[in-house]
Amino acid sequence: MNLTLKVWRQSTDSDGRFETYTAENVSAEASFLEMLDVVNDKLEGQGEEPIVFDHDCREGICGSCGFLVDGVAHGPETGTTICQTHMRKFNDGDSLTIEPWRASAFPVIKDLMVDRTAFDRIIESGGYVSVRTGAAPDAHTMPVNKHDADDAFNAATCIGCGACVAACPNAAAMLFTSAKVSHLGMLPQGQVERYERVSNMVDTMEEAGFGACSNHGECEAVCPKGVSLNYIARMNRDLAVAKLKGV
Amino acid sequence: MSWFKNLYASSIGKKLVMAITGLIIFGFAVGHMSGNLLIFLGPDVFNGYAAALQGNPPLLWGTRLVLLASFPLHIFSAIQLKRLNAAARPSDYGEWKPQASTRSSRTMIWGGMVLLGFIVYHLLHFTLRVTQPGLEDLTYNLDGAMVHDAHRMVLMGFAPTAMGIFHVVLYVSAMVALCLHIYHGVWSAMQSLGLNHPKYNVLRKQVAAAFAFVLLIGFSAGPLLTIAGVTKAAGEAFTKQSTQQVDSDATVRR
Repeated sequence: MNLTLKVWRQSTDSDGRFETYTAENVSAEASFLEMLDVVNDKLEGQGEEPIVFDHDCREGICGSCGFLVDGVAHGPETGTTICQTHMRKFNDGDSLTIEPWRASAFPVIKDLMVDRTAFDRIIESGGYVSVRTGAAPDAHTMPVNKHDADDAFNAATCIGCGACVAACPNAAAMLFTSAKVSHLGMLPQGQVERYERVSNMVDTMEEAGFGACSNHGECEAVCPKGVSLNYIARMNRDLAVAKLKGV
Repeated sequence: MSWFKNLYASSIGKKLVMAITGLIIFGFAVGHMSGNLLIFLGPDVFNGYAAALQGNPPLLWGTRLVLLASFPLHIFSAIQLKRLNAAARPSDYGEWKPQASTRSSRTMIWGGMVLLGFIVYHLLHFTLRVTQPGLEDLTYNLDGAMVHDAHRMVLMGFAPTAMGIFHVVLYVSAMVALCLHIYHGVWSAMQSLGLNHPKYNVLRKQVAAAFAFVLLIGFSAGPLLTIAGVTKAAGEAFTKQSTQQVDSDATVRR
């Protein structure tokens, strides 16, 4: 199949623009990133700079890749990262717009690659539990209720790709932060620092320049791991309690 | 109050203020709409209701003060959040396709501005009575007591004249804006307040939609049926029926 690509090209501290490329003889079995690899090979052959994009595992679990395809974060396939989206999802002759995440907290490094260290700072401010390390404890030493275990696990499936921020009209990082707050806050090991955690992580999130939640639900719709909006409600509750306690 | 300052400093705290003040205003709107529907029971009932409200200063001024506090807080936090959000996404996408947001959720700030403008006009029209000549001094004899003729004021406000048509169009379009604002607002407020439960989450949107629809119909019924002449006819029919009822009761007693 042959495609026309409208790709955002930008280097740090300069204004970007869309450039049009053609991808020829694309295999329907190729992943979206493999398709870009082929386009890049051709660009390099012509002495042009290849399109820069983030990627690592290409198995949909590391959270490195991500950009918008035709106005949707991670492209048209729901519950799937762009690296796991295959070209059979598209049609011969399609024209696709490819754009990086846009948020003031995620400055563009180059082309489709953005700086997501703001997420690392949020994690550093509270994404941990202070427990004695050593040999792994027996799995049943600390009973955890099944519902909490499932909810905590679902929150922990967040891979931190940033699609929630990209899709949010306010560039808010509420879904990411609430998932990280909840996955520890719902387990017994995370209770000690529960309120400090939510308070610190939300403060760091806002200092980074992310927006506020308007409950649009765009984040949940594009999340490749299907992290639920319920975690945002849960974080709102926890933060109110934390501030009441003066944490 | 330092806890409140700390909470309000975060956007989540601002959303909580939006949610609480929004729900207060929403509660008032439901009460206001229910009161409005008494218009169809004729001048005795409607003017009696209006007089009862006016004759109860703690209720009247209590409600007014709560609303006078809620509106500025709701608007102020909305402006602060809007500025924060605009700064967080300084450049728009070349192409962006909504996946889950609704027209209702994306127009909250604009709908809110329309409603604010409408409320100012509505207060000038029916509370201060300065925009339409003839509404200033309407009185009604309610069992010997002279009270404000709110019933006649509504009939005149939505009379089949050019001005009446303008009012009907204005009021009904404002109620469409209210319906959209309430649909996202009520659901969103529950989310901001952290009121969620997997079992009832679907219900939250349905309840919000139901309230939005009921408010749209309930509020629009007044202007639309008044200009169509139904309000007057319904009032007369009800008054006649209740007078006959009183007469027949009297006959039975005799």
